Amino acid sequence: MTVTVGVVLFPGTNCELDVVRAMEQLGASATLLWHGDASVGACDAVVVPGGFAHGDYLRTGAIARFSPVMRAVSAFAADGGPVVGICNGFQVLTEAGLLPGALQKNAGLRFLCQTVELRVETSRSVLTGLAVPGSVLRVPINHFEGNYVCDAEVLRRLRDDDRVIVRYVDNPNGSLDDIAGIANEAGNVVGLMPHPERASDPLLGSDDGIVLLQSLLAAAGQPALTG
Amino acid sequence: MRACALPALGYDNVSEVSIAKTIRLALDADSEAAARAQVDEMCHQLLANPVIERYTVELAEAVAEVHS
Repeated sequence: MTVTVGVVLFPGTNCELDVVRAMEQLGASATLLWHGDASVGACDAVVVPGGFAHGDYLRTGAIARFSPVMRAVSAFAADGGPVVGICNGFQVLTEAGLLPGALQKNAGLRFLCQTVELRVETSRSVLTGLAVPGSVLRVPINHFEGNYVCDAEVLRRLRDDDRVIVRYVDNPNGSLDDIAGIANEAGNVVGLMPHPERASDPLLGSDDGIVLLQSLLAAAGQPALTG
Repeated sequence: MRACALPALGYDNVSEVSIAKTIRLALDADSEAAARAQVDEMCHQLLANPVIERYTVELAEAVAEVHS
């Protein structure tokens, strides 16, 4: 059965078609979910892609969390459905309370657009299930607010529960503990700043992101394992 | 953040510069305490992210002008 990935589109989102194309290239079907939708339909997984949802007014992700579709995404996540937030999508998931912590301006106060090396830290998440812990992936980042921060207690839990899924090999933005991506307790909700969909074809300079996207599709095809 | 432009103007005793956000609201409330409680709630729910932002609330009473 073909897996269907719902890709959330807020006003100001700009990476949705990159995600759709990458998913279709891997044999999945993908459908856009408008921010005003009250349901995620018959999707097997949801991706909240990058961009500037609602113009990033007030704070990144601050307005987007109140879009009707986010109630549906939260309910889908609570039922164990795989949800991945990429870049601005990660910021939206933290504002929505689906993931702990927040993303503040990069140390150095510069917008960063470059390919970075990520070390896979665990396979216990819907985005890293097929990845080999310890392996290094080359994936682009493209953000101003990617500097992950949380309080000491949250950091302790993230580490103890194996919820830091990818770390920067050479920290570009000041993120606490070199964190590039994290998962919730169940491992079915993931957020990361790098863009795996932009590393999904050798033509793009790297196809190291494919293992992450394939992990998501595998998890979406086996909902019982992610619940 | 290190200041560069201010020293270039000759203010070479400036070592720290930061910028903050101001959000002004006009609201009807029965008392100062009620207004403060409501604005605090707004800050928690939307206006500030307590993980990365600190905020203070200042209230000023707006007096309606009475024309005879």
